[in-house]
Amino acid sequence: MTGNGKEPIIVCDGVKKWFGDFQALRGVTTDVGEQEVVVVIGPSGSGKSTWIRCINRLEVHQEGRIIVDGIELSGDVRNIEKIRSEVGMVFQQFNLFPHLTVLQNVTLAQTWVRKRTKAEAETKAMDLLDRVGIREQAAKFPGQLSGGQQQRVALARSLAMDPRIMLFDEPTSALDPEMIKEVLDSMKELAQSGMTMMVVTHEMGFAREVADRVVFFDQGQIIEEGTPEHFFTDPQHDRTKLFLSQIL
Amino acid sequence: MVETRVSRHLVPPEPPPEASQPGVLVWLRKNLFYSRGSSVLTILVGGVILLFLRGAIGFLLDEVRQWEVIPRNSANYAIGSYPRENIERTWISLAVVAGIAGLATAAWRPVGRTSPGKIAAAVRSAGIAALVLAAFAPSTFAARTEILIAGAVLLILGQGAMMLLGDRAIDEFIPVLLVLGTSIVAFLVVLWVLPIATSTQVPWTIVTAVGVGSFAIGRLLIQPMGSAVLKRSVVALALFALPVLYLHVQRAPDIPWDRVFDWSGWIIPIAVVGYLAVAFVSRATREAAAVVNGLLVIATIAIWFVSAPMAARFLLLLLTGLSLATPTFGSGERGRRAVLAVWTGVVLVTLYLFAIGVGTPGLETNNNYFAGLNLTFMLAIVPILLAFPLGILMALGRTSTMPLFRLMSTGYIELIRGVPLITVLFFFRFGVLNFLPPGLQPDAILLAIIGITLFAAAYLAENIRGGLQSIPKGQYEAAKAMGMTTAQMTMLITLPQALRAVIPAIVGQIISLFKDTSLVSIIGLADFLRVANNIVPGQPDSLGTKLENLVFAAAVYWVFTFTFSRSSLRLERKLGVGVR
Repeated sequence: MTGNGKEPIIVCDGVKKWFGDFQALRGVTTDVGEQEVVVVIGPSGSGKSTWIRCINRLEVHQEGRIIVDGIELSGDVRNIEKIRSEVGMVFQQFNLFPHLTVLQNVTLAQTWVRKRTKAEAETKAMDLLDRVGIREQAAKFPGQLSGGQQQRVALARSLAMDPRIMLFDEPTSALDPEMIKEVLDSMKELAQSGMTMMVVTHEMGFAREVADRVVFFDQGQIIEEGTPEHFFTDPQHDRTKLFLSQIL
Repeated sequence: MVETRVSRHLVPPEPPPEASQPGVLVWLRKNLFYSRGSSVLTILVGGVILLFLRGAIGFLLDEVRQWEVIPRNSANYAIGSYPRENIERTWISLAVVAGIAGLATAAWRPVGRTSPGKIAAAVRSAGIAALVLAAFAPSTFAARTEILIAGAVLLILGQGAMMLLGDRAIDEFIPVLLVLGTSIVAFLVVLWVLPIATSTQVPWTIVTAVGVGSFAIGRLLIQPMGSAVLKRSVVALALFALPVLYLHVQRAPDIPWDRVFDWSGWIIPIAVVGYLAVAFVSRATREAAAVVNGLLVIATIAIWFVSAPMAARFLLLLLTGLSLATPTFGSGERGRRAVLAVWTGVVLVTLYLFAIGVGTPGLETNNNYFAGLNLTFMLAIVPILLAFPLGILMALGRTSTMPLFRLMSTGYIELIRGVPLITVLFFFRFGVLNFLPPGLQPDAILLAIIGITLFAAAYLAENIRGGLQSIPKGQYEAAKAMGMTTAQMTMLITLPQALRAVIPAIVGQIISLFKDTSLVSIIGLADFLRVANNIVPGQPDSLGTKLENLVFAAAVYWVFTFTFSRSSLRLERKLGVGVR
């Protein structure tokens, strides 16, 4: 069941994953609908990052099924790059390429993966940098930008690939409080434009305002999921209540 | 009780407090005599340094020393026994190098600035040092007069310039280019005024003129061409000039085209099949490309089991490599044209190299064409350029997830690193010929180049591997998350960063490689050190001057390596901008 009633674009069915003897995912089953915004919350080490990293196969799940845009992720997938180019990802540590300028960061994958001409890629890059509000920083190197600006470059870099799905792995956790807002604003705008998004975050305000569905994760499984209203006002599970009581 | 305090006005930023210029005595006290222990150490170490310098200057000024053998043998040092009737070929090469250097100076325009005060102070310090040392030197007054006069002149010049400039000396800056230009003029004046090298006045002047002229041309070109294009052209020109100068200008072989057509039975089919294969693979679906590449791999292995010319085997190997890389780098119209151009280039270069180089009759005996500093540079520059791609491949192989690649690279690196360079050189000079098919008989210099290249590549690979390991995991993940293939990720993201990270290690390696080239004297090549150690002291008019020549050789090696290490520091600083 997807949260917004639309066709599922991501299907997870009994996804399990171990790191050595430690089981990080204990059977995750849920669907994400097209244009749905799913916010994943939960305590540290609960496996929520591992889960969304499985969706673009940065981590490889060992049991269960993950289907992204109609293609099942398995050892047989020949063309994992093709799937990854449809799934954008923004990381906690930005992971910009420090040896390239901001503009080059945003154009590189466009020219090499999407095979666009340099001119096309640069037009697209400048549009996106404009959209996230840092057009004038295009010629600088990532090291010369603030954390919030870097994260917005990372967002533009992912969007430049025209992904169908965007994954966010704690995008604001490494930022100063004053910079968190600028990144969240860009993400809100993206959600309003109809992007399918999965967001791992600790920003409850964002979850309440933007999410179609909130997923609470603990000990490698989904404990509770539902609309933000339900989730924040009427949680059912004791673990959810405990978690919310500690952070709100 | 806590009082609430609010600061209503913003304090404007102030300039930092003025640093006072400490006097000499204050400086001494602060840095050399700040405690009893430091005073004792200063006096002790200072005494040792003075004693050492005194001995060194005494050696230099000793009347027994015949320093005049060095300018007298300058041609031997530069080119060894290169046939003197062809010496204009060396001058032409030098002029080409000067021309490229001029263009490079225009393209990379050193924008650094230096203050005239700094230069004047340096001149004055040099004068004081010369005076002090000459006064200390354990030699007769007559031997010291020249040094004393030079020291006094430098002291007066430096002090005079400082007094003349006054306060402006420190605040004003002049471009480094001006200093460079002045040095060139000074060089020419010295050349024509002092009777050191009268026979080379004209060629040196021409070489300098070519350098300055091409600098001017470069300045004119930079506007219409754009700085990036000019830089790329200069690099291409330098790489192109290297084989042309060594193989054609200095060596002057006639290309034995009959050798090319000896194996034309293989070359034309491989060239045509290669062109078609690459053209097909760049357009085909993944599956079809894999079939073609699989066939090529099988053919590449199979050709080693049938009797075929070496060149055909190498060419097929290169074809397979290119074809395997094509799906990643050669799709799209632009990439397609690029891989086809690369293939055409590979065919032409292979043809050319096999035609002129390897085992051409008559060339094996011409080792003495290259000697002296000329040979030393050749044995340093060519292996470094060749070792880079090889070292990168080995580093990638060793970090690869494919066990076979990893085994091969690790085996190669550990084998070479476990063996002294001398052994490698001996093997390539005397051992390797047994393994080569008849008709393939590279000459001693080529064998030395191959040996040094393979040796350097192993060490380079380890350095680059270190750089690759320093790249954070997030860089790989970000590249993968955008759908880059492993090859794209390596070429565009991780390798460029890894190479930057290990510049200091690579520079260190290049410096030691430059010095290690002196080992080739044991396989019978007359490099710069051998000229200094055997050839010059063996001249009838220069007997008994080994010490002078070795000191001179040491000084020359030092000047080059020191210059190199300084310029690499500048490079590091430049690339460091915006890295973190």
